[in-house]
Amino acid sequence: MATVYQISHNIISNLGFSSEENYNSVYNGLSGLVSYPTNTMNIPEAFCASIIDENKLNMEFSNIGNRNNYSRFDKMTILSAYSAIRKTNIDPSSQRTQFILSTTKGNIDLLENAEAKSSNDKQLFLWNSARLLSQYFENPNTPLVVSNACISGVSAQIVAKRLLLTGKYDHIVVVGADIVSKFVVTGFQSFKALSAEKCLPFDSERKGLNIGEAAATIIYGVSEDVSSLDSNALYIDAEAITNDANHISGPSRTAEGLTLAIKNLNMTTMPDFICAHGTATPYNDDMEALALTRCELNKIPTFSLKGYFGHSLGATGVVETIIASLAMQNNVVFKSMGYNKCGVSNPIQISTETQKLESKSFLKTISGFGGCNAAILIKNIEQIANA
Amino acid sequence: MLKISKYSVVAKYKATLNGETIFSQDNSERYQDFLTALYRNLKIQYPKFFKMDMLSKLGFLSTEICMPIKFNDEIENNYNTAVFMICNASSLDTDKKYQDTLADNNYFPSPKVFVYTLSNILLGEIAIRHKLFGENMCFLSEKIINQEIIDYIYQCFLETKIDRSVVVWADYLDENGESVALIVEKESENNKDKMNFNVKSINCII
Repeated sequence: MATVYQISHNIISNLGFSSEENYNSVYNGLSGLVSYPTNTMNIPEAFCASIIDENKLNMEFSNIGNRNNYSRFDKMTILSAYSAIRKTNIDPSSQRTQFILSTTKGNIDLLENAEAKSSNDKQLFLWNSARLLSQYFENPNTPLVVSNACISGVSAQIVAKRLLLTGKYDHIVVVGADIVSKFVVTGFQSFKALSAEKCLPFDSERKGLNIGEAAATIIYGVSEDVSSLDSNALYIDAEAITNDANHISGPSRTAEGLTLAIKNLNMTTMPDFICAHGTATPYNDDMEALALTRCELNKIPTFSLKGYFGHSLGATGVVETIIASLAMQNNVVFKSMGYNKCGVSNPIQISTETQKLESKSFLKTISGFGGCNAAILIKNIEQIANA
Repeated sequence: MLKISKYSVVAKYKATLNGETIFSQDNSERYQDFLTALYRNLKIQYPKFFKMDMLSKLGFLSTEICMPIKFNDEIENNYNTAVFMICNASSLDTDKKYQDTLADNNYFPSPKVFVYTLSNILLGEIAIRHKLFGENMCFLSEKIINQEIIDYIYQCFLETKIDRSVVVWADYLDENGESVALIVEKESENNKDKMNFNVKSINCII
């Protein structure tokens, strides 16, 4: 049985330009969220978001390419993939390497340019962004684009695993990215889903989510012989995607889809911790708590990372898988930032301190518009050796 | 081997099932009026249709032709049918309409428009209509034929408990677009004479 395992990763966010910087920021209780007053980015209402420093992005990118040749979004994806690949000896130009881009809106900020909008500028097409990314690395394959709303980052990892199991590739580079734009911020505001202050996942005072901006990369490989891998390596043990078949924008009241996704993992032992979606909207967090309760996971330490990064849409599933993976490798469980008093109808075990926790596996859950849900179980490679 | 047991196409101004025309109209009609006429011709009772954007209407109708529902109450929960969708322009048509609501002198962003600025909403629409709780995935691709996506779908049949899937290509931008729906199933006695699910068959269909 082949095993799909993590080889390398990177995160670019307001908390740092490497996975380690981001991990250390979370470990030290720092948040990338900043309050922006009315009329920021020409948005009438005030909002709170985690936005990458433009100058730093341009400075870092100028080391690897001409910053004037690429959009903000494309610079983020290329820089993140480059940073992850650089740490390995993987050949990104090989036919046996494939790229998957996970994004919801790509270069959506370009729609503000009337000319780009009326001419349907190629840069507005998400497959074009994927192509620019793979072309930068001179990869000969047609890259894939996964766009499943908020679950994209986890579903892209699931696509990577399944494609690696076909035997056609040795390595798949999964890049998740989305930017903060007037388009997205006003859209969530129109839904009354945005909090003007820092979000409070699972808390009784939670009012909504914050948008974040990030690009994150995980490189997956496939191996028939796990004894050759580093003992600290992590692999995808099980994965599932489901739909609520209930509502296009509201979570299921019975948490049917997420419950099914978790049950479809057929877990034989409990995960050591859960990195939940925890957007801090009233409905999402209630639904998730119900799903965890229905799956008898309500006593497992659970946290949301949205208080650190905000919700980075197509990047969020990749960012959170990386941070949770590093937590597991360091035997740490994080404080769920913004949580004070239980505000969900089915109480779950929200982690209130960043502290030591011996762990060999974790569950990542995620849900999104369109009624989609996904769950993946990540384990330490020694769990195979011991099986 | 996977088989294409049924396929349908909705385009300007014709709808077909397994290559046979089931409805067509004079090309003087507006595209959205044609879709409404097709909806009525199929005798569908589903008011949510009228709230959908054009991308969702196209994908919904092509799926409906392949998987007709006579009475709304006859549908049972289904856990083993996956939905895979592929589109080129994503939700760009609705994105542009939403962007128009953000002008300084005419600012009225609406959640009813914003929700359709995600292409995978079509997956949700199909899942709700047909009570499909299983695997679903939205890919964006320049071309309808993409070997990678076919490989992925084959692997899903091996890795998960699905036994049937709806593969929907849907595309719409600036008054133009089309949708193709395929019912893709594991090979059985019932479908052994049908087309194999591969690049060549999809080429034939389109």
